[in-house]
Amino acid sequence: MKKLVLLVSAVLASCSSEINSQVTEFDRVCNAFISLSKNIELTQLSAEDRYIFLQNEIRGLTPEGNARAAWDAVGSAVAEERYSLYKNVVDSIEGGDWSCEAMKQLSHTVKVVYSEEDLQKEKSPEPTTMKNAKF
Amino acid sequence: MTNAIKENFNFMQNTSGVVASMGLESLGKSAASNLVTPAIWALNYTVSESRPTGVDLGIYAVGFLNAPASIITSIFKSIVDDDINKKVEMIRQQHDAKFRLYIQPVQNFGSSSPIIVAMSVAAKGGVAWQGKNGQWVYITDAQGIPVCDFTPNNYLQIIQPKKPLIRKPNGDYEFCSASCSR
Repeated sequence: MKKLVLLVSAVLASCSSEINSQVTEFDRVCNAFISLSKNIELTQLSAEDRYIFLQNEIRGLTPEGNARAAWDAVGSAVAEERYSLYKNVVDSIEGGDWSCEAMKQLSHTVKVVYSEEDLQKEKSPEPTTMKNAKF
Repeated sequence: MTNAIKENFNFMQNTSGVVASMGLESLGKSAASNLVTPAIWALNYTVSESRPTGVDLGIYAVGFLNAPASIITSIFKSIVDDDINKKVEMIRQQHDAKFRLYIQPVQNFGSSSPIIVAMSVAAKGGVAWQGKNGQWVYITDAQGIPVCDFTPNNYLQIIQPKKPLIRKPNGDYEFCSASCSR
């Protein structure tokens, strides 16, 4: 039993640090927006330059991590919904009520800049419609 | 061993629910790459709630302390898969019989956190929605092609391509949630 308690404690500690690091990563994305909102010169950047600034701020985040993957994913969302979708991801993962006022204010003012790699990517086939779908 | 598992069948069933709702949704990709962690977490969660004795028995029953990691992983993976399948089946039953086979869990599409995968589905032109039981699913036709204008019968959240379809320079489709007009 002692062995079990030790094992479970060790695993719990690792789980806890993983969750904490995810919180930190989400907050790092938020902090990038805070930097953008607080600096007058930065607020005068074009929509494309804002995106480049943000990408630069979060470059340390692993692409596979939830914080970065979520930000990359909402890049294809309708601009006005980026914040609410990102918040949904964070709340779903953290189970709380995350908020980031700077992201709320600015995420729709950013225009995604695609890399050469993005542009060269093989395009997925076109989706079908209910009218044409074969079930 | 068989008897021990039988005796702890309810415990194992409870654990599967916790794993699915806490493990996958909470840890996303990390969970997919190492299902042991959320599973143990879920076990511990169940323990703190009420039944330490049940946990001891359950863990010993599956050889938890002595089994190689691969065995532990496969055991918990099967528990999680069962739970996902059960929830997907519940969602399928709420839809016309002809669509049921083609409603799939988002875990079949990608290994990130389910809501992130749901966004990836929508970016490829498909409709993904979260059933009332918390499970995210999406639909394709019989050829595996995403259906961009499917309307699920009921859902907690939906992520779908914006109509008319707008393709981004990287090939993704612009998507939105329920508030986006169809």
